[in-house]
Amino acid sequence: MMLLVDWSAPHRPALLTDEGQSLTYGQLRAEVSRCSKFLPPKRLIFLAGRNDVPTTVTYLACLETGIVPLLLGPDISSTAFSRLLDTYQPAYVFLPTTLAINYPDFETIQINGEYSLCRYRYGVGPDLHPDLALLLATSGSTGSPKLVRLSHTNILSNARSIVTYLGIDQHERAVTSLPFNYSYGMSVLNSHLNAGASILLTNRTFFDPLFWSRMKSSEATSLAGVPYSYEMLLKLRFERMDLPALRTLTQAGGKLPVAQTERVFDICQSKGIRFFTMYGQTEASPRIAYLQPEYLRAKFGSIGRAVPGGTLWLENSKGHRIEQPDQIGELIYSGPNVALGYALSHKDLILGDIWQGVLRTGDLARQDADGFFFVEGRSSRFLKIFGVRLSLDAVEAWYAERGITAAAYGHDDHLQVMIEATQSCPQDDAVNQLAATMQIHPSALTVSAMPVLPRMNSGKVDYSFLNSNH
Amino acid sequence: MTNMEKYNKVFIESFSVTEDVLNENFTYQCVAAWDSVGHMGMIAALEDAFGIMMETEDIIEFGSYTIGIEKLKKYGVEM
Repeated sequence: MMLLVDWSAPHRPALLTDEGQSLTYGQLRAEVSRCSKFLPPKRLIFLAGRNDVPTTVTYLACLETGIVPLLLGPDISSTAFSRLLDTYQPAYVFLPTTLAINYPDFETIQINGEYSLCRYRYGVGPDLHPDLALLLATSGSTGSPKLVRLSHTNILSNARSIVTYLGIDQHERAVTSLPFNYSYGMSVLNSHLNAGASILLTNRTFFDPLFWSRMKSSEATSLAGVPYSYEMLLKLRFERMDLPALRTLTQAGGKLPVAQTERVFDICQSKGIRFFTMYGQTEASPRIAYLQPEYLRAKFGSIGRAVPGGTLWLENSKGHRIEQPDQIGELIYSGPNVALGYALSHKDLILGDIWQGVLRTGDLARQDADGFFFVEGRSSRFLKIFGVRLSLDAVEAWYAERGITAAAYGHDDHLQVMIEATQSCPQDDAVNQLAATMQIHPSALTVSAMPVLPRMNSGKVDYSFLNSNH
Repeated sequence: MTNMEKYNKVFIESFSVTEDVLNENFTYQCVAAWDSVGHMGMIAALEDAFGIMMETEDIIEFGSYTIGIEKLKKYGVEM
């Protein structure tokens, strides 16, 4: 049994919904044990849900009974979902009832709101390592079969670190401004339940008037956002909003430009709101570093220092630890929240702790003389598009499958693709199809063509040339 | 170009749709492209096209093609 949730105050509110429904910790616990009866321990389940009561209850029932969920969004394409089913062969799926009919190999055993819990008719799924508690996708978008394997210790230790450094107590109330299956969204849920605080469950966006009216009427005290969320908040003139209960803003999921960090910080100062900029990776369950608001002005652009219980350092390309300040090296993290490792298929779910608590982040960073870390770039081939990690290699592979040579590059929130073609005008259809497959907005994507891609002597595509010239 | 033409052009370009779908049933999140990212882009494009700066409540209440026409009146944009 996992000790993620603080059940000690049964009369305190746990979950509030958009529709005005509310569940105390006592009621939530009863719902969770009812749901647990349908779930035998140590089996694999796919959990495709949203920020709502049935999904949250099922998620907690999984953690409590030791059934291992892979968290997915309900808008995952049927192609991606089927590919994951083939690769991992779960014993159960929990998904919107409207989608359940597409999977006749699964029989419905329980209906909960708009969701169905279904059992595989022909088997009990793969064997799982005793320490495995939860699986998260490495890339929310492509339905890539590469998953991160997390243990109970990973989840619990990270929830506790977050509770400690954000100072979350039972009076806090977070609003779910991110999807629950995104590691940052999951950590908001975990940390608040661990502190006995409450959560306003909503799937509404910042552009829905009801998001703001519910947030105000239910007196939400904290809001989490990726850089793009802050761009929206500034566009909406956050400085003019009247949300007297709001006390904390957190930001992660990519680097917020310094100019915007300053603006948000100034607004927060004037409203008495604490603003935490943070850094993490799904592979660390996910929080790695945070910057305390009191250091923000002196250290704009910094990711701060390691979360409680963790250690951060830098290594040069030879693998030696960098001791002098302001030298750039790869950011390495060690802590109890570092995942067990990756899984590429169901066979890997029996594996134990491969990473042994050490994570190479793939980010290049420096540390200043005061000990604060600054991310300077990425050594691995990923972009963050509106907070979600996108693999540039996956984009190139998508083109390769269609017989097209392409180079993917760009910066966070904008993917550029250069295809090797003589026609100067790529087809809109292909652009929209790529955007749909990668689940990114078409406006975050530019596709151009050139007759021959620039290459270095080694034959590798010269991405730095493309980045500076196109 | 008339204001109506400019207004339609922003929708067509922001959401990759054809003019015939632009009516009272064309609402926020009715097509995949009109999500929060698309909404930001559309608002920015309208502000550029008409040289206006919209207020918070108008941006979040801009829930459909038809509501938008009403909202823009407040900024002196008549269709």
